[in-house]
Amino acid sequence: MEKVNPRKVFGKTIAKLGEMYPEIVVLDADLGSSTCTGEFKKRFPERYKDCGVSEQDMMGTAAGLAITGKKPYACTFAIFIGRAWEQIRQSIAYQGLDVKIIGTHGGFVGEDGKSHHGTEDVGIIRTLPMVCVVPSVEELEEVLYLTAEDKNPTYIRLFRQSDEMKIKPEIKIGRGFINGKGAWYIKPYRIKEGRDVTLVSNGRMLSKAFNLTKELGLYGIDAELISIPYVKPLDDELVIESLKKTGKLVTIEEHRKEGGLGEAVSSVVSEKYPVKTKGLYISGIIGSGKCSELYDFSGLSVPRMKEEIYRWLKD
Amino acid sequence: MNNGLKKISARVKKNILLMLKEAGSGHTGGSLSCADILVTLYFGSDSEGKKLMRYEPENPFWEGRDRLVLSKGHAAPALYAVLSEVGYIPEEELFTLRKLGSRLQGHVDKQMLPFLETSTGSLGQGVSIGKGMALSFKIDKKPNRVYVVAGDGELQEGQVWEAARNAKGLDNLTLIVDYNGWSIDSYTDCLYPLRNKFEAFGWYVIGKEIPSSERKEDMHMDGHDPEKIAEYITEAKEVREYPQCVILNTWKGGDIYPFKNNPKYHGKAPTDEELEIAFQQLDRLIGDAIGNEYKRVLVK
Repeated sequence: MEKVNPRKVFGKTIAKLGEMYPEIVVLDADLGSSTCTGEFKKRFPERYKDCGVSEQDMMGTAAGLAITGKKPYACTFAIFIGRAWEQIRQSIAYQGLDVKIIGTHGGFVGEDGKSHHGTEDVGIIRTLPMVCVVPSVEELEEVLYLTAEDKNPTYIRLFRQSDEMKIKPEIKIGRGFINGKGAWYIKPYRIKEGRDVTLVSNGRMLSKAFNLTKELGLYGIDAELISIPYVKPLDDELVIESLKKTGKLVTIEEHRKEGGLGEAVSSVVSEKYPVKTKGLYISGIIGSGKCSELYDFSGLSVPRMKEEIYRWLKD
Repeated sequence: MNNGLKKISARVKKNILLMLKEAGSGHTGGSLSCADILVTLYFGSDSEGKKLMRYEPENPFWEGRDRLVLSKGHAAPALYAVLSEVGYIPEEELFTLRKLGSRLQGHVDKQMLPFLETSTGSLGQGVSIGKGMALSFKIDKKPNRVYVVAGDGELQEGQVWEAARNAKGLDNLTLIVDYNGWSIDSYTDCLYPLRNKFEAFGWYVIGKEIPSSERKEDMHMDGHDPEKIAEYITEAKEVREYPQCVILNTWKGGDIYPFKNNPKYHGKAPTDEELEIAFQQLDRLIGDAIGNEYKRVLVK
């Protein structure tokens, strides 16, 4: 698997979108070099604004822009959206404004350590009437095109770096609801068929989960893998269909248990088709280290997930 | 030029009190302190007779209108009462304030009343929202202006100072501070010297705050004087390159007894007796006939 930078994909795509949508305005909070918005800034300087180290003001400014007909993309690290959560709630989400929030550096950031790991962002956004997307690098461009067309307040979680699966995503558009308003989303899709256990994941964990299915195969476990890029609105159809076959669910996410993909999926599953369920997620407070070491330390490396699932299936 | 505004203001203040009385809760002090400012913005003129704020009474969604952001969203009754005078809200609807299903929510809510410019209520957020609107008009090279009315208490929020630092070049943005000297629990003297602070952040500042510790009962407050308010706003509109901050001194509870400068009315509705005292003062400004009419509403 090759390492790619999803932020660069975002940077290139937002510049293309800027051409297509003259109403797009990009906002940064002094992290433009990391959120990779440089190309947009160069091509559309009048529609780019660096708000400085001021996330709260950036979110409020985005709200004012959206009210007056613009389509703002407010970009910062996933961890720092929490600093402006109440601004996102009051000024953006509760007004149903067409603001896209880009949180780069979701999940582990590596050596910068605990102050910078974005491990709660999905949870705090999921509590709001907002679209929440955690795309893999393969899905990212499609997600950005779709969210540009959709008019709901949206959070898009990106990663600092990502493994590339080189699997063409199966893009089918669905229509759900956010706070009573229609919302477009990309439907969950199967990456690998299997009959013993259903794995669901998203973001950059998807590539690890894909490797995991191969490893589990060596143990004689035939795992099915489903990608769920949209945590909200959550389309449960494919997961329930898969569980009717496998009867077992494993959720895999680079996020804390509270409020993440696992809770979202298992709460629907427990209502509609209860099965034996296992969640793999970040627990404890994780400090500095190489990302590969952090995955292993927190139980999210492929070998550790493989052991965990194997033991759980044998129980 | 703006003498007629006193009558509108008196009617607005009566309606604020009646709405709050009917609701049984709400923010009397902060609504009355900014009433004269809002009335002057909507109905005032400059020395040449030109309206201060551009809007069309018959079309609240007119693209060319200036935007008014009431950042101190708890003063919603003042905005509703003024918009009723403009003709956007039927007067009888005012008395649904804070009731289940009402379009008139406890804090300013655009979802319920789409002709409001934005929802507010959590303090300090309106300045950034207004700034975003002003930036949007600048990008489009449109002449619309944005007026943000903020309370002095909410200027304690850090977000306001992020916005203040970030407003460079937005000469279409006017922040009007309703400086009534009180937050819920305390005086707002911690903001002193407010004028210097905004100047240091690169704003063109008009007016100067009178800190609570220096206020005397019989002082003239420019924030209750339509001529002064109009004069300051006219000056602000002529400023180029810089965002403007207009500091207007007011009394919490407005200039009406028993509410005047009394912090106990921050989040408390008036009683019948208090209403009677206030109405006697307001009736003198607008005439008994209208006063009696309002008392009938009250009795009902």
